[in-house]
Amino acid sequence: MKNGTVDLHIKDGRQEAEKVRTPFLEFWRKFKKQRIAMIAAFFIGFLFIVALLGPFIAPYSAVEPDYENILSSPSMQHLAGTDAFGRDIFSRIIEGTRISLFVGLSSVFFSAVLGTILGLVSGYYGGWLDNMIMRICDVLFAFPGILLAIGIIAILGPGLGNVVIAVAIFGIPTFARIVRSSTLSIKETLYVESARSVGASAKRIIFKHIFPSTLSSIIVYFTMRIGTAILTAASLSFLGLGAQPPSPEWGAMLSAGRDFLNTAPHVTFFPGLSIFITVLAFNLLGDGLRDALDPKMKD
Amino acid sequence: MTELLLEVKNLKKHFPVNKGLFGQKKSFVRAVDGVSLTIEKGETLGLVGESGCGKSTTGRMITRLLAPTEGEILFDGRDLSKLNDKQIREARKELQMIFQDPYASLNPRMTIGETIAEPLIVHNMMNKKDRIKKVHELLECVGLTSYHANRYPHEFSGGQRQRIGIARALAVNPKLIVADEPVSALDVSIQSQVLNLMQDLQEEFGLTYLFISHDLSVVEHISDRVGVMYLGKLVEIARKETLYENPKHPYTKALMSAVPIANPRVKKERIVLQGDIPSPSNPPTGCTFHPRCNACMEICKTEVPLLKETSPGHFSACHLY
Amino acid sequence: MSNRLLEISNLKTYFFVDNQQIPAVNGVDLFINEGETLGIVGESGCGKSVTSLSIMGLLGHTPGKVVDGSIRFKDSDLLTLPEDKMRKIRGNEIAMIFQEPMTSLNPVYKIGQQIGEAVRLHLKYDKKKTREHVINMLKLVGIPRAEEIIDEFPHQLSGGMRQRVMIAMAMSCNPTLLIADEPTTALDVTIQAQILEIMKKVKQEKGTAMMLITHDLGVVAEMCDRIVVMYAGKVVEEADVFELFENPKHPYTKGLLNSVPKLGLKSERLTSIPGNVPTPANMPKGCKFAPRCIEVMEICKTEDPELSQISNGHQCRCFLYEDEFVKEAK
Repeated sequence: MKNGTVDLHIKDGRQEAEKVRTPFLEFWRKFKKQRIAMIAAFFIGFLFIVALLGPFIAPYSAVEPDYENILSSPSMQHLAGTDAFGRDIFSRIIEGTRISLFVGLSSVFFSAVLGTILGLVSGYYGGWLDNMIMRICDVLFAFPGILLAIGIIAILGPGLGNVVIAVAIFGIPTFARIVRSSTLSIKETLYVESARSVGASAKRIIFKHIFPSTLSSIIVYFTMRIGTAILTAASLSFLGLGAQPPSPEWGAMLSAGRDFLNTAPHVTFFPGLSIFITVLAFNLLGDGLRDALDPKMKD
Repeated sequence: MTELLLEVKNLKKHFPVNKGLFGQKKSFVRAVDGVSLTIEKGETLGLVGESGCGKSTTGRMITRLLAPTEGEILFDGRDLSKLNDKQIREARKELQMIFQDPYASLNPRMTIGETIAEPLIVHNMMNKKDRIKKVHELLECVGLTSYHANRYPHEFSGGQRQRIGIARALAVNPKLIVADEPVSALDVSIQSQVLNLMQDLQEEFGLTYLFISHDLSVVEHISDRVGVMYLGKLVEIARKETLYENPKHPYTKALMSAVPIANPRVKKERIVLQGDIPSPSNPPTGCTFHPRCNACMEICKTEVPLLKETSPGHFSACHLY
Repeated sequence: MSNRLLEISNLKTYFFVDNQQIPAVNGVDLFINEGETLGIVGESGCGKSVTSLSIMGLLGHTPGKVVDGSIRFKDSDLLTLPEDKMRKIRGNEIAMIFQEPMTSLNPVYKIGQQIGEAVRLHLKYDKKKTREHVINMLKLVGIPRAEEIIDEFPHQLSGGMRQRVMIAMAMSCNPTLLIADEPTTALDVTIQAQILEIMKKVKQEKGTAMMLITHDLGVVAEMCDRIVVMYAGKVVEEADVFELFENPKHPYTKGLLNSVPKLGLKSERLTSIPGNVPTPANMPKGCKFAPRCIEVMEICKTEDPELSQISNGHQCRCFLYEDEFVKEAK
């Protein structure tokens, strides 16, 4: 024991001073450095506030027609002009923010939850279950996304709620695949084996060890996916399958304005711009998250 | 005093390899091919051998991280090879493992405290308050401080992580610890710290170790008895003094002479083995060592030598004896 | 006394990561004479591998940069040499063997092509002569069926065989200096014994000087003429092999020698060096070894000792020997 006493008590003077470096702080340190992603994050935060406050900050009503001001150009009174019913486009865009964010978030949330569960189960247990889940995913993958959504709407009928379901369904296989592939590699790591060696059950291993490790890829993909979901939802509304007039959904607004493309381009320009910037912001945020969380995950 | 803790009988692990386009022709990699050994309470059995000899596979089967193809693992009177999943998890309370790679064996997203407490949680031992106390005790025990409990693995060096792995294995007061190359990934000056720690803990808690390593000097240092493996078989096993002073099996002799000695004055007669270790999917007939053996006889090419007691407590599997 | 082949003075190689500068090699002085084997011993992160990469000018794809010092090889300073001249030295005059025989060979080329490439480039042999030469090299490193192996791919060979191929490749242009970075660490003991024998044989036949980087004191004792011990980016002790093993001076060297279990020597307990290898982030102020040193004094905590001569050919970086240092210009 003579010599042992020395190495049993390692002197480590700096330990009291330092903060615990949690994985979150590590992530924040890396994320902070990315200017563009930070701007995108702020913009998205701003969008959420707009969505929450919607009707309270909109200068005009989004649905009340005003036949005095039909298709008037942008001016001080109507910042983005008015549409064919004289409704203030700026106010409609503000109220539309809520719809777009809701559709984007909720559909991706459903895909993520279902896809993650399927991916974890399929990756961890393998065998026929894995085969079955993956073959179903393959079938879903064989359809072009928007076509699949149109097909689902054709069955369920048009409407915003059904758009959410359609977009959610066609997002499931991608989540399932991403989660499955990380599950497969994490399952083989030594720390999972080490958890098994102390007697941890399958449930504990899946939820305590594998799921937290896949979380970073899920978050990254979740963010990127929101952009796509908003775009798909807008496209469906544009085709008349989603939100119905007079709802101020951005895609529906685009659709309503296309007859006046030559005479009043602002009717389509501003909703189009909103879609563009929002989708871009989510994608940029996703890129930034990926670089900070999971640099290996490059498409 | 010689109370048997573990008795392994004719343990085998054959990994199937699919051949042909549709996997119709199956061949087997005989990773472990009939290993029998015993471990007494409180002793350290060292298991040495080169890569691919099946020493790690043996360790993993004893902790039942792998299911044996054949054979019995009698641990404290129970046959571990016959247990179902739930019983195995239960049994792991008494049977813990320390892994080679201290960087990969800790979950990077869990704090050290959570990691060490995991065995206690899965076995429903203690309430939260006692658990935290126990974690702090264990950290002190392995030479870290309780202050380290809420930190993450990336802040620790290899040696410290290996201490954490040891603390975790100790949490449930196991009877047997299987240590798979616990110091191979560590720097020389850190290796000795960990070896000393393992010895201290053995004394303090009356632990029994199965110590797996490729390093003959490390194994000699820590073990009471040593087994030498070659190509899935145990070729020699004896008390370490006997084995190191008077190795019987030609492979053991070659292995010992191959180790470079840290003394420039010693000019040793080295037995340089010819050729490589054969693949365990297609082992040579008879004694698996015969193509490389310098004392090979006709009988070695056809008949598999059995492990025989050549002197009291000294077993070797060679036709020479 | 034989001629200096390579002389490194005050080499500093820093890594630039995350706006931080990490001194991996922090003022290394060492030399190698013609035909001599120099061992560089140290633990991970002591800068031994970075030193060798600096010599070879292979820091290109790392964030590392040589910031100070000189590396004289024969008559030229390798650090100021233009890339095209450096390329002529690399592989031709100085060759290197890496630790991982699995990844250091390109899997899509045949063995013969890989070895032949350097031969044709540096020795300007024609196709036929190259092939002959390669076969001879393979025979030299004890590869059976050399005529067949030359047309095989790396994946068809075992680890030990691949390391032989690496040695054959390194020796193919008759280098004057061979740098071997942990050449046997990834190999099994019996295979390591084979490789060490081959390296000894090749060295004897060709008279090549060798720089052997390893953490294995056994390998060093067996192979080397002179040893340099490194710790935290600096040389802490240098002596010939007998002197170093029999009369180690620096507390780190002593600790290192004592902490290795020795075959056949029954010791109940190993003496160990307490604490951990310092990371660049928490590098101690004075002597880099002070926090782990059992003979630490006050001065060690504030000042970093110089590498000074104790006796002929024996240098040590420690305040303990302040009085013994030979007071003369190096």
